[in-house]
Amino acid sequence: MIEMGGSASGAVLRPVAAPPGAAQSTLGELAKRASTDDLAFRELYDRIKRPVYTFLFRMVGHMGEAEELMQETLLKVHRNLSRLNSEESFLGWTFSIARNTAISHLRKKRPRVEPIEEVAEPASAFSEHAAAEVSVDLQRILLRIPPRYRSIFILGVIEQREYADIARMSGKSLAAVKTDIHRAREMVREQWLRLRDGKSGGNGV
Amino acid sequence: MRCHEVRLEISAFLDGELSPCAVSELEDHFEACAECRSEVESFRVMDAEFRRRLGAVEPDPALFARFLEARDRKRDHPAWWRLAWAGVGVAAMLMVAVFGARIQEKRVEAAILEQIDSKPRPAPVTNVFAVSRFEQKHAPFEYRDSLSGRNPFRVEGTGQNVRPVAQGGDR
Ligand SMILES: [Zn+2]
Repeated sequence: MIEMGGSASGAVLRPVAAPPGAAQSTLGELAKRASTDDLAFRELYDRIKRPVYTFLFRMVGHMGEAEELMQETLLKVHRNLSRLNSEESFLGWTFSIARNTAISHLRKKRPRVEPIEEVAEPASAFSEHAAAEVSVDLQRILLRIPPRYRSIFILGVIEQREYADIARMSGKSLAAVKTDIHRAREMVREQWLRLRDGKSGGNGV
Repeated sequence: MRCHEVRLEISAFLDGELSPCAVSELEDHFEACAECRSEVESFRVMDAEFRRRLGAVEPDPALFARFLEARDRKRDHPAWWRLAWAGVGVAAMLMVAVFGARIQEKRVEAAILEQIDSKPRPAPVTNVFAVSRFEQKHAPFEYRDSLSGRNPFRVEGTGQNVRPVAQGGDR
């Protein structure tokens, strides 16, 4: 279903009679139409928004920042739709743009000293306090490791994407992805063990 | 397989990126080696916790509408800038025209003055046919002796006038 964001977008998103079978279009077919057809682009967006936004949110740990990066990613995707290779997976291509956007954003930005207050964990509103706290702690661990490893940990370990896909998205060899994921896992585990030991010791570090 | 070799493969093992052959090799090692087994177990627990706690996040429903607005704003920008640059261009041309005209005017004025200057100069003022300063400067007036019909102050040959002494402060 198409949600109208507001009256302003309503004018743009006038529901033009969709071609028959549009609902079954593949991402590639949609991508072909999407540069001139906002409805097609909206459909594309609806299919990729969750994984891409989740990735960006995990990269920066902040909703406002993630939304800015998502917009930037969408602008780049829309502008370069004609360059999309028909063989290429649209989601993978979008991920590579999102990844580059996030990494260059994090490179430009001053590293945050303590991102605790800014980590707005959406789950906290629904689940019990302790669980939300754990999520915030884990997100904080992600923010402590370098962006390059953070992105590969999110994609490879949390999102469980195939190494070959990650290699394509990041322009690396399969072997490099393999060693990077392992390195990222070790970095995260070091922080994670420290967190667990801190918790069980009752120090609340 | 040595422990250090196994450690390097643990990630790929957990991510299902190893060949069945390599997997069984590792599994054999884990059965025999408690250290590597606990290593893989600790990673497995950690992975599961991250996956469970850091699940998918849904973006703000209004995000797409905001993207469209931002895109259209960017699209309009070039036209806007072109318009602005056109304005700057017109202003520059006007300025060139105005200043050009002024410069041309000055040039003409200078040329006239030069012409006047190159002409024989008015006579000094010490005589009865006193000449006003303006006339001295601009008018092609030259003092001539009423008897000889010549300018007694003119230095022949140089084409230069002798500057009237009385007009010294004028320069
Ligand atoms: Zn071992």
